[in-house]
Amino acid sequence: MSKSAHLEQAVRLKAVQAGLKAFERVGSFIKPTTRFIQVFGGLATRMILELDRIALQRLLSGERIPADPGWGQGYVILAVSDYGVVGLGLLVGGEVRSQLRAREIAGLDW
Amino acid sequence: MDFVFDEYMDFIPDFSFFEQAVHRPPPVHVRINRLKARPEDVLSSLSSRGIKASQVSERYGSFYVLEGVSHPGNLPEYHLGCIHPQALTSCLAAVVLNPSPGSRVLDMCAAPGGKTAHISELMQNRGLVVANELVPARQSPLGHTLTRLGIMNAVVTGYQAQEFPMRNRFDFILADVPCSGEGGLRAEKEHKKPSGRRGRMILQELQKRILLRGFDMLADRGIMLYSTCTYNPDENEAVVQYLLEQRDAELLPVQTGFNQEPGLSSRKKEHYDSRLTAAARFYPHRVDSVGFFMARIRRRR
Repeated sequence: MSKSAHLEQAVRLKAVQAGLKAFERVGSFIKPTTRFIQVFGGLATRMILELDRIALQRLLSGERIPADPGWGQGYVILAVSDYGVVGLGLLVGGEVRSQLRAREIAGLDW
Repeated sequence: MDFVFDEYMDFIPDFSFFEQAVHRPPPVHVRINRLKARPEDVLSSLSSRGIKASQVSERYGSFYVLEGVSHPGNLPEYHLGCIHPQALTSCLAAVVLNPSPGSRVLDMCAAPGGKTAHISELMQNRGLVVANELVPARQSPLGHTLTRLGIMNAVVTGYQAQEFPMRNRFDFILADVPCSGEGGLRAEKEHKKPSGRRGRMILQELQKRILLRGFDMLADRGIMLYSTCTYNPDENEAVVQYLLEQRDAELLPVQTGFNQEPGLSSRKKEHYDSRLTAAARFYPHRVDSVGFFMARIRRRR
């Protein structure tokens, strides 16, 4: 990629933003961004929690959703029927809590 | 009270129908973003909630009109980047520019980013799109639009469009310039001209400078699209005429499949280059959307 002619042209410009941010730092952790997961999460083969719309609303209201305890802990991909991948949840102690931007999406007509 | 567009009566065809259309609200058009969703999945999702989406044209599989939805920004599909509310005529700009995957593209005045994102979609997220926007307050929504729609091949810059660094060359350039925005005046309580005569002269000067700078950055076989959302010939034909006088440029036909009118070759005392009939004018009584103007340009060979 560093040899790309496009990159050579792009680096000559004073950029305000470039590409799609893949990860961000949250405290001492590195977290995939919601937008990155929305694009690439569909390629994941595990750690995907399928939700229906009611379960999504529960998550958005702050409830925790039970998940496969065999998954350990960490980020899981949240997929909602009809919509596909919507973002991430955080699995801790067999329960998933939302990592979605609730303020942005709680009022939507899901 | 005089109708605000009366001065255009001499060139807008079927003017009474135009007047009626301007007083009706425009339909809610959305573009399905194929980078993040398949049209059939989006339609199925909307349909499951009782939202009817009708395809605008068989030729364009991702342009739809929504019924019974006044704020498409409140739909989950919007948040997920599967749809983008965008006037139909605005959607046609990227289609007419027709950038190829892997090419180098400059969008000179990119905010709020709908056309930029559409360009990236047509390029299948490959190549390079430079999305330029001078005003910092508009760079943020531009960035959000590109991020929401999953755009990965874009770089946002903040140059003055008319002073964009000349060391760059692009295969495709979109100059969707700042304009008086008359084409967007529909169903307003009071139709007013967006700016006075002096403001329009300043706009025209800016438009000319942007168009010239864009043309000078075109690669040898590059294509440029000059577009506005205004009916005013001073911001459309007169600006492109200026380019034809200053540079060795030629106009290419604009073919959209929609009901469009040719660019003007004369108006009152003004006479424009006959090549300007290759440009396209869109009126809301012909295409139920925002009024629009496009000229497709390349270096003369």
